[in-house]
Parts: sequence; C-alpha cells; structure tokens
Amino acid sequence: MSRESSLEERALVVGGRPLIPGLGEVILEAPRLARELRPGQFLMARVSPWQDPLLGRPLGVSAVRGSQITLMVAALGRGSRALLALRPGAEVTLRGPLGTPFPPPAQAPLVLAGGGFGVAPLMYAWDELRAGRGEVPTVVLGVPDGSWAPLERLVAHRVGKHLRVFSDDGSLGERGTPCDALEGAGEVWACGPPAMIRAMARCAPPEMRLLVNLDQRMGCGYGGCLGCTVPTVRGPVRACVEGPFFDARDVDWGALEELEGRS
Amino acid sequence: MRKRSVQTRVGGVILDSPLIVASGVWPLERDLWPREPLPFVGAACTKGITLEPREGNPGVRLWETPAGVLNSVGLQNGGVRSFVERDLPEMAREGVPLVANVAPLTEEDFDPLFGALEAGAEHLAAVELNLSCPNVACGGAAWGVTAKGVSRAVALARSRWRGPLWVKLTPQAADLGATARAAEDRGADAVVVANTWLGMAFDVERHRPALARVVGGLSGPAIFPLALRCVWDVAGSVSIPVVGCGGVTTGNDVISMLLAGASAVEVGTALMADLGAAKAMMEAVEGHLERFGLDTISSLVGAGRRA
Repeated sequence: MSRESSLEERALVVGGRPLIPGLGEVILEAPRLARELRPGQFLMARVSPWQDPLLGRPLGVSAVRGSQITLMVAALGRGSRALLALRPGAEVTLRGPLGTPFPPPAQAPLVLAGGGFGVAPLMYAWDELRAGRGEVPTVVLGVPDGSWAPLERLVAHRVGKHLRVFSDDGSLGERGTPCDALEGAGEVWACGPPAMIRAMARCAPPEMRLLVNLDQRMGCGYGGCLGCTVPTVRGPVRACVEGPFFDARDVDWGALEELEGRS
Repeated sequence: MRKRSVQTRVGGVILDSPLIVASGVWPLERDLWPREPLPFVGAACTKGITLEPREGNPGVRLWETPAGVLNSVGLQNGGVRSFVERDLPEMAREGVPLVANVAPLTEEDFDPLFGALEAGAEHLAAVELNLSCPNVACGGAAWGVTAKGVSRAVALARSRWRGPLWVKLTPQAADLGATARAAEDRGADAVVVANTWLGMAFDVERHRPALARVVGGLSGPAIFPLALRCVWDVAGSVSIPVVGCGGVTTGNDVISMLLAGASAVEVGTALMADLGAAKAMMEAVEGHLERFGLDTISSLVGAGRRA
C-alpha cells in the first residue's frame, strides 16, 4: 500500500513570536499533523506558492497542543526567513509526518540534549515522555552565551526543574557544553549543530545509547530523491525516512565530517 | 481512471494521463509512496536501476538554486536483482503502470541487466534506458552525448528487451536531434527529452564547490524553457513519440510541451516541491481543453508546430 493518508496539508498560521534575533516560533493550525506526529519526526514547510525558493524546509516541532503545532524556526536562509515573516492568517503547506519516531527509551536515566534551537524537537519529546509512565527525563540546553536567555526561559517554562543549562562562556547557567551532562546518563537523545553532535559522539561511552539528529539538506522528505543520506556503517541511509535521529554507533563519522566539509 | 480525453499513447503504452513521474523522485518502497499524485499520473518511472548495487555519491547530494535543484545522487540503488525480486512486485500492486529506468554502466552490463529485468517484465509497462545520468563518472554520461554512443546502447538494449523501449536522452549532447534519430534508427519506441543539465554551485562559506563531484544535474522550473526547446527540436527530427522532461511544473508547462510535440511529460522536481502539483496540472489541462472546446489532448500534440 502507498501511505495511508495524505502527506501534505495547508496549515493556517495562528500565532508566533520572535525569541532572539533570527529565531522564533510559528504556531499553526494543522489538525491532521497534530494527530499523526510522534516525537522524533519532523515536517517540511513551504511558504511560497511561487517557484523560488522551490523546496520545503525541514523543521522540528517543539510542541503539539490540540490541533495546533509549534515550529521553532531559525533564519538560516531564504525559506526560513520567509517562514519567520509570516503573520496570523497566512497559509503554509506542510508535508509530514516525516522520519522515524524515537524508540522507547532503553537505558535510564534519559537525557535530552539540545544545542541552541536544536532543543525544539526534544521539548516535544519531553512533553510526551512526561505524560507517559516512565521517568521524567532531564533536558540539557547548550548555548553560546547569555544572549540566548529568551530561549532558556522558554524551555525552563516548559520543563521547570528538569532543565540544566550550559553556555560556552558561563554567562548563562553553568560554563560548559551538553557533553558535560553525559556523566551518569544511560541514554541521550541529542539535537544541535554539527560540532556539538560530533563532540557528543566523541565523549559518549560506548555502552551508552546516543541518538543524534543528523538532518541534511533535504529534497523530497518522503524517501524518493536520496538527497539527504547520512553515511553509516551500513552505507548511506536516508535522514528523511530512517532518520533524522541515528544511533551514534551506526554513523560513519569520518565520512560525515567530509560531507560537512570540516575535515 | 482518468477521463478518456486526457489519455495518451507513448511508444506502445496507453497512459490514462499525460503526466509521468520522472525517475529519481519516487521511492522504490511502495509503503513510502505519497498518495497525492497517484490518481493524476499515467505512469511512474523508477529510480535508476543498475546491474549491481550502488552506494551513490559521497558528500552533499542536493543544492537548491534559483527555481531549481542541483543533484549529485549517483544512482544509489540495490541493483536489478533486488529491484525485480523485492521492490517491483510490491510496486505493481498499486496499479500505476511502471517504467523501469535502467542505467547500464558498461557494454557488459546490458546482458545480465536486461536478463534480470526479464523476470519482472509482466509488471513493466516499458523500460526507460537512461543514457543521460550525468552523475556517474564513467559510463552513464558517455552513452548519450554522441549519436554513436546512443546507437550502440540502444542496439544492445533493443536486442535484449522486446517490450516498449523508451530512450532518455541527455541535453549534454552536442546534437540532440542526431542522438534522437540514432535512438529511432536502432528501434526505440519513444525518446524522453531530456534530463538534467550539468551545472554547479559554490559553497561560499567553504570556498569549495558545493557538490563533491563539482558538477551536478540541474532540474526544476529553471530549466523548463531549455527542455521545451529540446522537445521542439527533437519532435521535428523523429517520427516516434517524444516525452517531454525538464522543469515541468504547471498546467501551462504541460500544454506547452504537448504543443511543441510531446505526447506526454515527465514530472520530477515539481513533486519534490509540491505533492499537489500533479492534481493542479491536470485540472489546468482539463480546463484548457474545455475552454478551447477540444475533445482530447491528442489534438494538442504538435499543434503548436503547424503554420
């Protein structure tokens, strides 16, 4: 069978707010996606009905409330800037849910480690885990400096005492990086910039299950174009279908480093 | 089943819609197929299938450009045996006519590649011989750039495949009309015109070409006028049906391709961007037929060529 339900829907912008320059939230009325999404999955958003920019942009969902979903959008390029500029009443085409949901946590205690706006999909995962019967996980937020305080307040408002904050210069929370929160963790789910993800993979002990978000430039999002593959020990694997979260032990880190151009 | 008015015929295949999913954008796993375009397409081309499994190209594979996308995927696929045994029977259950896009990388590939394909022939409406994939450093690109290379490849394929054989040409050929005629002379049932154009982009943050192989194939609305011109030229050079391919995104693009002489069109990047594109295109085409009081789209095919 082809997929059971449609993959695209028009969603109405119902709210949103800037957090810090170049980062904001967009809230959308999207009943089908709100019903079908699971933590760990993502969606693609396309603003323009025109042909440029052409492709949808992959985005993490930071919250699902009733029929509404919240996206955290960083202004990385033309597509994301257009999303951030949307006002209530605007329409967006959303494609999703895409990717594989998080597996059930296997090794307590679970830590959710977000670098900057990478914390978005982990906040949504935290909501669902808290509603479940298991242990409430700790959220770790790593940011460069105190200018990220509005994001820290947003996360703190949601997860309260379950938050640990690290900043590179110590001006917000503890001085350090999310790596400093690995000790004692049984399992870590991490989402953030490539440098943070690589550092986490380096300092994670081999027995720890570390799931890392490795989304790439994405074309179709539904597994057709093979444009977003991640090098793994089993060969190239799609971030949009088998990912976007990968077990760090499966990733071919050398090849990934070449792909990201930082070798 | 679409209306009779939008049926078309391409090299021995009757299609319920002139839209064909182009190779490269549709998963081989049927359970991943988005359902939106399916009622509006007449056929779907598979990802490029090679004799042996291929991991594809390393590095960044996609790079968005103005109204387009550069790709350097490099024919990642599980090889023809896995395609015929695992993917194809399941794909066929959907009921959409399937066109296997096959990419022989050497002359020696033809025999075992088509031999393996034969076992799945009952599920295939046609084979699309890929002579144009610009991503494979050796082999693939070479076939389509000269009439001689096309002659050789099509002759090899024709002697091994009795079913409908479509030949997908490359716009990198110096004389596209000559390569199209070579395909026709060697027994192709249709030519697909064209494929991606070679292009490049720089990642200015790294001072390096964006794609590891430097060049990639450009697709999307940016190339539509180039592809349309190719269809116009080739439709004047051959008498077999022409399938237009390259940047088709809107109903007007479909109609333009038909007017230029295409019997059908392939749609790829438009679906990557917008799964609703096939529906929108067919509604526009049907609206056009109605406005002009035309009974069938066949009355549009080549109509723009008449004085």
